[in-house]
Amino acid sequence: MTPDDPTRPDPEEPARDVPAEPAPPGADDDTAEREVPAFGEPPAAAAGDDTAERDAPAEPASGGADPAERDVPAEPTSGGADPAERDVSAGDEPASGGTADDAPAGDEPASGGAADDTPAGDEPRPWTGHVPPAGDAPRPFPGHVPSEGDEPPAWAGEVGAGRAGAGRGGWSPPGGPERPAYGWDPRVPAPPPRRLARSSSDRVLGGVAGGLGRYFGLDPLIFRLAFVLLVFAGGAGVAVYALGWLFIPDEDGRAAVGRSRWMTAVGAVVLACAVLSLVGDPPFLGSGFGLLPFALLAVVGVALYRASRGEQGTGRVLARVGLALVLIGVAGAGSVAAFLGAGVGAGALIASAVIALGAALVISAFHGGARWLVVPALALAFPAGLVAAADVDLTGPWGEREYRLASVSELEPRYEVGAGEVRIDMRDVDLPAGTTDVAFDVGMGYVELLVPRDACVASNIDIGVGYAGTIGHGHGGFGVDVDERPVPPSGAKTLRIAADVGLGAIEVARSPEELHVGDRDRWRERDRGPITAADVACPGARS
Amino acid sequence: MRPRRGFDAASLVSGIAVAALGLVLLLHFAGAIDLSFGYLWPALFATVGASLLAMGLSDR
Repeated sequence: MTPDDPTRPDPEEPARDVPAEPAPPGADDDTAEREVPAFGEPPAAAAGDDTAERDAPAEPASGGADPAERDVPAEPTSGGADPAERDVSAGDEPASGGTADDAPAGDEPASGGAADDTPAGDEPRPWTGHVPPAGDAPRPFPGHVPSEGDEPPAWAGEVGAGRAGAGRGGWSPPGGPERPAYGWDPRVPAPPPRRLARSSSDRVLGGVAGGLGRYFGLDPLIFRLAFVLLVFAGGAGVAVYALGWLFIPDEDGRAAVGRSRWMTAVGAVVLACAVLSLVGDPPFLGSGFGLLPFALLAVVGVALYRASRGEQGTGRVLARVGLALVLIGVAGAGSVAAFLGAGVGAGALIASAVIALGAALVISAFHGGARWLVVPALALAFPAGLVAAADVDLTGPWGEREYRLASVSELEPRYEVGAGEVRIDMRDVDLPAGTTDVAFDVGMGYVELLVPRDACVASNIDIGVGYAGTIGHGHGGFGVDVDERPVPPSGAKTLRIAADVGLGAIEVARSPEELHVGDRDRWRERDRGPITAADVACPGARS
Repeated sequence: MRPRRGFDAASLVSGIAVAALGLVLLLHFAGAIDLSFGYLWPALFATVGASLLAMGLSDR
């Protein structure tokens, strides 16, 4: 509106432009589209938000109240906005501190001359939200019980800030800030409950250490150092930090889990692991199993969390978690079946099923997608890949066998085990001079071989996944390859062991006391006492 | 299958990755290649990572 606007009201007659009564509720008003808080309820916007100031039911407009008589400090004071110049009804709210862009046209003139922005001819519209009846005293936010003798509070244009005790929007009883006689002071806000949240202000990566430090009242540097130290424990620091980042919500209460960003981040990390696996041991696995069990547990935990997310009521949450556990169990059973099937020669069939699931995923992509097919596909592919890479052959005999040999003639050249255990005690065998060969072909299981104390032992062991313990040495993890070929002295009795174990362990020892995986007590009744050269595979051998 | 409308790039990426992994496994069991852990881990990680990344990006 310009000063020459013909629609400009006569500054000498402000009272005529002010309607005596507010419009009835439900009137056609664009302000009705705004979210209007209930009377006495703090608006959702934070303190300082001009929206909160506009939405606050600051003016009981009944009775044609003169703005000058109201105790609402909400009149625009800047820009020379004389109330007499405004074409704003008493029901309208001048939004102090707001901008013309924030206010709907014709609704609330903001301070700073915003009244000039009101379109000409726009009808003044009163507040159409909750209008308290005449004489109804404004109240502070719910829950507040003023002390006896306090006068009704005066609105300060906003009420939300009173919750945080920020000094704005609260009300002060007459008599100043003295504490009342009784113990509870309504003017002192209760301290917020302590909760664990990732810090947004004290953060290096995700704010996990900062949040932990604030929660426990310690220096966040302590937690950062702990995370760094745990990195050297097989990468546990990275895993623990990642779990904290995923499961500890931020200060707004939002957890990373369940949002697409965590999936993107995890996917990027897994892809990085794929690249690193090409040049060395897989990250977090190293030469052993590393954090693989923890990763699987984390996957199960995330699955259960996502299954229970969004459900209301303990019963429904338990039902969803139970269903998720059943599905996880089904996937696990499918994986075991795929492992056994691939191990007995149906690997090509399993691989074909994986390809079919992949093709189904591709086709589904053009019909809305069926992402869940990834789960059964991986449940089949992972064990099949394990069988393939570890050369697991389960077609041999299954069961447990135990041999106590008295002479070398009882020694078979090859022992085959599909799934099971084989234990051979050769401590009573008098090996002939020269080389004696023995071989083991185990799909999944355990081999235990007790060798004569005077034998020179040479080992060539290949294990897909498991542990190989030779005399004085131990190796475990994925793709274990042990090749120990000592040069025996002339005339030595050499036992040459060749073993191929898909999934399991083999232990070669001179005494049951040297066993790590096997049962030491199994042979105890036949133990011959201490072995002086227990940690030497080939006594007298040249390295 | 939960019905969705339109094209889902995540399913396409995941399907291609899964099918490629299955093809590698099939070649091994057919005797054409010898799959070791040195190749299995990158293949598995790549499949899972590509699927997660595609799903995460397509949800934005």
